Formats: sequence, C-alpha cells, structure tokens
Amino acid sequence: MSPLLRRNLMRPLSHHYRALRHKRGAGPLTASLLTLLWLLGWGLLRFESPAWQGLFASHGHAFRHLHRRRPGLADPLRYLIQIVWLAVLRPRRCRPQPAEAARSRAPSWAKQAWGTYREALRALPRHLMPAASRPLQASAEASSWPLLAMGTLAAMLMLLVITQPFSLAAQAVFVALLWGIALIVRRIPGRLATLVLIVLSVTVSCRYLWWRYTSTLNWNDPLDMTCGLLLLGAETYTWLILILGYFQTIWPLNRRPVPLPEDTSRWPTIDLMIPTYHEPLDVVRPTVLAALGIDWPSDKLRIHLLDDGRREALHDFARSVGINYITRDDNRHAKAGNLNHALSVTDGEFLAVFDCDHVPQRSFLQMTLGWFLKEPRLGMLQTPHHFFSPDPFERNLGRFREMPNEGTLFYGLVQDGNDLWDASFFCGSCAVLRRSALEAIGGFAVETVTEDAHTSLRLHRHGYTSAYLRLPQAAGLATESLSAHIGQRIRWARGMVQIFRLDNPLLGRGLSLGQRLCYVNAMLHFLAGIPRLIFLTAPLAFLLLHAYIIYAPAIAILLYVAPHMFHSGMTNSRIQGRYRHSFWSEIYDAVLAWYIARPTTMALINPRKGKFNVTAKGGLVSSRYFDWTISRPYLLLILLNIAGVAAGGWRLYAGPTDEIPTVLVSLGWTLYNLMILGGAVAVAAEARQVRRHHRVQVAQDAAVAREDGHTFPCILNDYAEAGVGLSLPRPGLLEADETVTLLLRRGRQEHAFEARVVNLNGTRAGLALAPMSLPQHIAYIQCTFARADTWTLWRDDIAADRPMQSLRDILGLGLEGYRRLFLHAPASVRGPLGWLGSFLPRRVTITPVGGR
Amino acid sequence: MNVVAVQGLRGGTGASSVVAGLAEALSQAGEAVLCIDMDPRNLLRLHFNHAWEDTRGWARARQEGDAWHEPAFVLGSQLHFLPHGLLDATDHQQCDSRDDDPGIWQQRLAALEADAYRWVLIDVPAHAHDTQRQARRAADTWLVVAQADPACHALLEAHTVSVGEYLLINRLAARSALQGDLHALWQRQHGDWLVPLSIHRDEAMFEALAHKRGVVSHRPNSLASQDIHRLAAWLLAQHEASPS
Repeated sequence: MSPLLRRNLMRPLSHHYRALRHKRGAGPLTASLLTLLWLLGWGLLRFESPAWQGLFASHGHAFRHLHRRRPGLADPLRYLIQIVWLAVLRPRRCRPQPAEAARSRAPSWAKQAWGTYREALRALPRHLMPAASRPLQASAEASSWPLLAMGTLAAMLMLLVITQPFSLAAQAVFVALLWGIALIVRRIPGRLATLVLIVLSVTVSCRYLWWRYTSTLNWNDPLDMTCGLLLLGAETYTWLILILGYFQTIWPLNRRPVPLPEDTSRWPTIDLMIPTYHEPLDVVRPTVLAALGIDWPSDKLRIHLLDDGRREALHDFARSVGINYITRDDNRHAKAGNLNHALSVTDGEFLAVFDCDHVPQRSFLQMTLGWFLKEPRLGMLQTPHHFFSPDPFERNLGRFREMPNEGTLFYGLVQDGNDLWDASFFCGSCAVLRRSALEAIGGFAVETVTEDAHTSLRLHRHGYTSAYLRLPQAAGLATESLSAHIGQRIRWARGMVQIFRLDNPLLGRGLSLGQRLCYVNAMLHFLAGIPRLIFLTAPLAFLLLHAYIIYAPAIAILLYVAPHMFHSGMTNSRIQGRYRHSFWSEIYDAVLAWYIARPTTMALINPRKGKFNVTAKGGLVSSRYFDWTISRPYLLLILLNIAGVAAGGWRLYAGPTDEIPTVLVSLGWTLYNLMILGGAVAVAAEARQVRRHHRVQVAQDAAVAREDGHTFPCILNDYAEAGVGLSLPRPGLLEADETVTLLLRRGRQEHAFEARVVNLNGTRAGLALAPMSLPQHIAYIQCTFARADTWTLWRDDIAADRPMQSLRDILGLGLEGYRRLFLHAPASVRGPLGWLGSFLPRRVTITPVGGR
Repeated sequence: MNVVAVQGLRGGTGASSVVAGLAEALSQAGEAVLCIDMDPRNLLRLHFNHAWEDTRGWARARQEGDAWHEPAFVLGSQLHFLPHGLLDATDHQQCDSRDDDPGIWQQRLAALEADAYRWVLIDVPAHAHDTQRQARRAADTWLVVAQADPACHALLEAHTVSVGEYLLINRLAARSALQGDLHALWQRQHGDWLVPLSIHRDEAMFEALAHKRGVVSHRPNSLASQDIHRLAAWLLAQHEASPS
C-alpha cells in the first residue's frame, strides 16, 4: 500500500509543490496550501475524466493571466472571480467581418424595407426641391416682405414653443416627437436637412435653458442657490457657444481659387516675410528654401528673413541663399512689431507671411493671389495651417492620421463658415495681405498678444474683406509637447480675451452683424475654462455637499437635459463630423480648462496686464515620461470625483429612497467626468521623441543607386532635413556606410542626392544626406517638405464620425488614462493598486480555428 | 492582338534589352506574348539563353524553304520567341522575293490564330529601312528608344512623329545634370509623344545580358526591372483605353 501511495500520490504532490515553488516562485506557505487545495480538488472531483481534461484544454487560456503571475494565497478567489466573469460575459470572438454578421441577423424583408427607406430619404431633396441642387443665386429683385413676415411668424411660434410650460407627460411626448423628426431628417442629405436639424436643436436647447431659468432654481437655500447659479452660468455659456457655433458654420463657403491672368507682367509684386525670433537655423532653412522654389516671376518675389534675434548665423545664411535679411534695434511688440518694421522698409504690393516653421508649397502664390486681383477690397486671404508632424494629442494617444486632429475643426470648418459672413480672420501665418489695406489701418495691431486676429478685425472695421481658401498650401511642425501646446493656447486665449476687452467686436463701427457674431464666438470660445471646470465638478455639489444644483425631480431633469444633449450632439456630429469626431472636444477642452481659466479671467479683468510669452517650440522629449506637473489639477479633479462616487455609493446605501434617482443621475455624470478626466490624463503621458529633426512620415516612391551602378526601387518612409528612411525590396541590397545616390521624384522631374547609409536593419535603411548645393537643396525641399501632395495622402482614409463609436473610443481613452497613471505612479502606490487589480477578471478572446 | 515595335533612335540605346525585359514583364502579367527579332545580327536570342551556335530563326527558315514560324521557341507558357536566325553570307540575296514585300509581316501576323497572342513585340534594327517599313505596316504601337544625350537630341530635331509612335527614354541617370536638363527639355518639346515613364540607368540591365537573360527575370528587384514592369502596365493601360 505505502509504495503505491508513494508513487501515485506523493510523487505528483511533490512535483506539483516543486513546480509552484521553483518554477513560479511561490512562497513555501502558499505553495503548500495551494498543493493541499489541488489535492482536495482531485479528491472531490474527477479531474482525470475526459470532461474535465477537455475543459482544462479548451479553457486554459482563459486563466492565462493568473498563470503568468506568481501564485498567491488569494489565487482561489481570483480563479473564482474569473470563472464568474466568464460565466456572465460571453467571450469576445474574432469575427472576420463583424459589421456584416450583425447586418445579416435581420431578416431579409426588414433589410429591404430599411434600404428602401434610406434610399427614399436620400433621394428626397431631389424630389422635394430640384432648385436646391442648383447653386444659390442672390435674388435682389425679389421682394423681401413675405420672407420678413414668415420670419416674424416663425419667431413668434418659436418663442411660444420655447416658453410654454408643459407637464412631464406633455414634455415627454414633445421631445419624443422632435427626436423622431430628427431621426428621420438626419438620413436626408444636403444642407437643408442640416438646417432642419439645427432648428430642432436650437428649439430643444432654448426650451431647456428657459426651463432651467424659470423652474429649477431654489431661491431659499443659499448653498443650493450659489451652486445652482454657477452651473446655470456655465450652461448659459455653452448654450451661447452652441447657438453662435450654429450661426458660424451654417453654410461653409468652400471658396475655390481664382486663376491669374495669363500675362505674368500683370502679376503683382510680393514681399514674402518669414519672421523669426529664436528658432534655430535648422527650422528656418527648409522654409526659406521652399520659398525660393515658389512659382512666381523672380523679379516680383522678394523674400525677407525678419530676424528679431539679430543672429549672425542667420544673416550669413540669408546672404548665402540670396534673400533679404531684415533686423531692427529693439524687439518692441514682438512679431507684430517685427512685421511692422519690415513693412516700413519694403514696398511690394502684397505681403505673404509665413512662420519660420511653415514650409510653403510652390503653388502658394498662384493659388492665392487670384482673389486679390479679382476683388480690390480684399485685404487678407488665409490658408489652413497644416501639420506634418503629430500634435501632442495625436502623438501621446497614438492616433496620428487616424482621425481629424484638433486643428481640423477650425481650418476645415470654422474658417470656411466665417468666410460666408466675411469674417474669416488672419492666423499669423500662411496668409497673404494687401499692403495698402495694412497701411490704411496703421500696420499690424500691436496692442494684444494675438496680433493676427486683431489685425484682421481692424481690416474688417475699415471695410476691407477677408477670404479663406481651404487648400493647405503650406505645412509645418506641430507643437511638440503638451506643455508647449498648452502654453500656446494660453497665449491665444489671453490675446483673444484682450481683444474682447480692448476692441470689442460687438461695439464700434464698421462691422456687419455676422462679423460681430463670428468674432465674438471666436473670443468667447477661449473663455471655456471656468465653465468646463464647473461641469467637471457640478455633480459633486450634490454628492458631497448635498446641494440641489438643479432643483427639479430627476425625471424632469432627464426629460429636459437628455434631448438637449442628444439633439446638439447629433446636429454637431452632422455639421462637424468630418472635422472633429464626437466627444473629442470634451477632451481637448478638459485638458486646457484649468490652464486657460486663470489667464483669461485675468485678461478679462485687466487686459493690459500680463506678460507676453513666446510659444516654446523645439523641445525634445528624450524618454517616455508622465508630465505630473501638467496633470496635477486633473489628478485633484479625479480624486474629487472618486470621492463623489464613494459618497454616491454611501447615499444610495444610507440616504433616503426618494433621493435615489437624483443620486443615480449625479453618479452617471460623475462617471462621465471621470472618463473625460482619464482622457485628459492620458495625454499627459508623453510619448518618446528622440530625433532632433522631425521625421515626416510618408510613403512615396523613390530609388537608390549604388556606386557600382546597381539601382533599386524603394519606398521613402520618412524624411527630415538631413536624412531619410527607406524600405528596400529585400534585405542585403545596401551595405552599411556606403555612399549611394538617392533618386526622388517631383512630378515628372527627378533629382539625385548623394547620401550615406548610416543604419541598416533588414529591409529598412537610414540615409544621411551629404551636403548639398543651393539648387540641390531647394530641389530636395521641393521633393519632400514642399510637395504639393503630402497633405492629401491621409485626408481620404480618415474614418467618418460615428458618435457611439466615438463614445466607446473616449471610454477606452479614459481607461487608458488610468492605466498610464498607474504605470507611471510611484511604486508605493502601484504596489497595493496592482495587488487589487490582480483580482480583476480579464476578457477572453476566442480565435476561430485557422485564424491568427 | 497588339503589335508593338521597338526601335532605337540610333544604335546602342539598349532597345533589345528593353524588348527582352518587356516580353518577360508582359508574360509575367499573364499576357500571351510573341517576341520577334528582326535584326539580322540575331542578338536578341542571347537575352533568352540561346546557344551561341544555334543559327535557327525565321529568316533562315525562309531561306531553307520552311514556314517562317517554324523555329519559334516556347519559353514558359506565356512567352514565345522567334529569333531572326543567322543567314549564310553567300545566300543573302537569295531570299524569297516575297519577303521584300512591305506588307509581308502584316500578312504573316494576320495569318496567326486570332487569340494566340495578346502581344507581339518586334525588335527592329536601328538603320534598316526595308525592315522598318515592314514593321511599320504590322505594328500599331511604335516605341522609339532614346538616351537623353545630345546625339539623340539632334536626331529628334529631325524626326517626324507618326500615329502610335512613342518616345521612350532609356538609361536615364538623374545624377547627370545634362540628362536632367535634356529630360526636362524633352518633356516640353516632345511631351505629346513621350512615354510618361523612363527606364533608369541600372547596372542590372547590362548584367542581365551577361547572364543571357532579360533584366526582369535576372534582377526582379532592380529599378530597371520595375521601370519595365511599369512600361508593361502603361502599354496594357493604353490598349485598355483604346480597344483597337
């Protein structure tokens, strides 16, 4: 008996124990207890049976995360949690095409009916009003009184709809009806349907605000009153921005370029100005060389480098490439002063202004000047700022070129919308201005830190018009770190608020109503800081302080708030979807909120105070790190909100029953805030960026020739000022450190550049370019940075906005933020949190047989 | 059936290498190709790994009284090659008098099975006028191979372009400032008949002949072979666009 026992029982037992101890590093106590448990399992259950064995084999991978870690005493609990999790949640299956699978679930007749419905709605505008497809024509001769009468009637009806108090049931029916209409209308293409959606959204939102003002304030309790008024103020602000936003983007103009006369002697003379202050020559050089390659009669294009840094190196460089170097004795009024000084020493008819890191394309002047010749009162024409490097959001979140970036909304939609109202404004770079117009307003405005917007406001006041051409004609580098980005935005915010105070667009002469509203919106937009902070903390007023900030039953709040949010969300998704995905504004705003709150308030109180700060560019992120300083306010907000969640849990448990709906609504809001804050924190984890020069990611054809005459095609993966990265058709074609010739094409012209292979990794090769002659260098810039098509590469494949998808995206981003927070946390915090986290169950993905 | 004749603007522009590469590229693209050498020097066969001693070819077959297509070689399933064949120097003038007929190649190709070949590539020697006239009649596309050098530039000045004729630049070296300038100049002067792609100068092209192969099979990763693939794609697109 005992040898049998020893062989059949003791040996496997000791084997199991040793495996736990030595292979997986368990302590002796843990190992012996777990071995005992294992023995117990064998004793009570028939693990040797095929059913159990099959179960182990097929579900082993569901516990992989537990197998990987060191065994602990609490392991049985972890297994139990994972088992319960698996039993409750279906595992995720890798489907080849989930969308198709989901669609095929509906019966065919339903699909057909759905298709017919959608097709009918799509065709509706054509049936309804064939005139809508024709371009709009100003009908000056038509009398305007019927329009006026209709407008008055509609306004009165609208007022009635907004102010009429409803019972809860009536309100429910009302919002359901509007929502139903919106759901139908959203499937109809065209701008008319967008206008209908806007009307619905405005109705619902105005009604919401009216209700908030008239029936949700508790005037009896001072705490309720204070918190409630703060929230109401923030809500009024967002309502105003919403309405102004609709107004601003109601009909984007989409201006096309106007051709220039055939006869080049009629083309005007241009002063192309590149102001710089302390940016290194490496940043300035591509811009200057690209400017030298611009297609324009050479006797009519003068390039000026405006160096406020008074640097000898730049002077030498300007002399060596044959451009004009302008400097001055003082640095008064920063960039605006610099430009004004240059204005006084030049005399071209037009001014093209490029920041020193915006590389113009060769077509820039030919694309833009046509409008100036056509419209003699045109004072300023702006083109988009396009970036070929990822901004901090894109870089730190790993989303470069996957979705519209932060600037896309402004340059894709807002400026184009402004253009309808003749209110598109100067953004400091990539623009052309008429000298006579500038001289009429006394040069660039110097009173504020955003001289660009202020200058165009003055141009408008003096009766000049502006234009916006949505064709990226230059590309530049985005700010490199989050702190630099925030610094830049602080400057913009302060400057815009300064203009709001010093030269308020609502007051004064010379502006049309449309211009006033567009400018006001642009300025108010930067006051978003405090309202955003209020929203991020509002539910805490109830959860922590028990203040009724919205003095109404939870169901009423839902019946008013939810339609307001849904309608504005849907309408904005329709208007802005191509330029900004839903919910992303929340992230962008949340990141900035804290930082712009103070400077804007200060500027609002005393616009003349506050120092000028120059946007720091060219910072190098040498290793992955977490910007704790930047994210400190968000950590505080997160802690507050977590406290709110805890308090909410306690209120649910111990509070009065009639408060439960209110607690639930507040909890939902808090969780949403936590998600947004998580997203804001995720951005603060700076991704690594090791290269001094930005490498621009592309995928374009190139070729490389060896000294022995062998030539290979390759793909140009990235380029920088001094080198390129290639991928070759197969490894072993080049040797390290050999000299090669890089062949790049621009249009049908081909250029050769000497280079040295500096690193080689399989099919990838890194080339360092040899020193180039000036014409060669210009050709290199033309083949790379100034290519007219780099920006077109990615616009097409950006996914369209799908609000629910976007919400999921943001949710994932929020979780990612907390994960990064955990990864970068000090060890004393990470230890206990990690231990707690080890109990969390994991999702399991089932890969179909034959799959990856 | 598309008949493409390839001729050097002058001798030594590498036209035969282009023909050999193009034949390989088109057949690799799944097209049935017949490649004919019309040059009495009989050198195209060296691109297709023929034995030096082998003197067979269509001209010799005619001399010996056989059918012209008798000595065609099968190179893979899609590519057939018909060498010129080496004529006995003494019998040079004793060919069938019908072979001097300008329409002879047109008739011969028309007599082929309609679907046998999608492409017929003809290597035309640079300065043989009779052969050129015969090939002209048969071909619907005419590729003139030139190098971006002053000699070719001078010849192009005197050249008259006919319908279906295209100028192809071979051995383009972007490193050479002269070639770059001439290339730019030709784009302006000859833009209407210049093929929108050029074949780069590539050592692989010369090596291919040393290995008795076409460049496409010899060095598939070379730039020259990519250029020739693109030329093939361009030809395919041309004929898709105008089904004549």
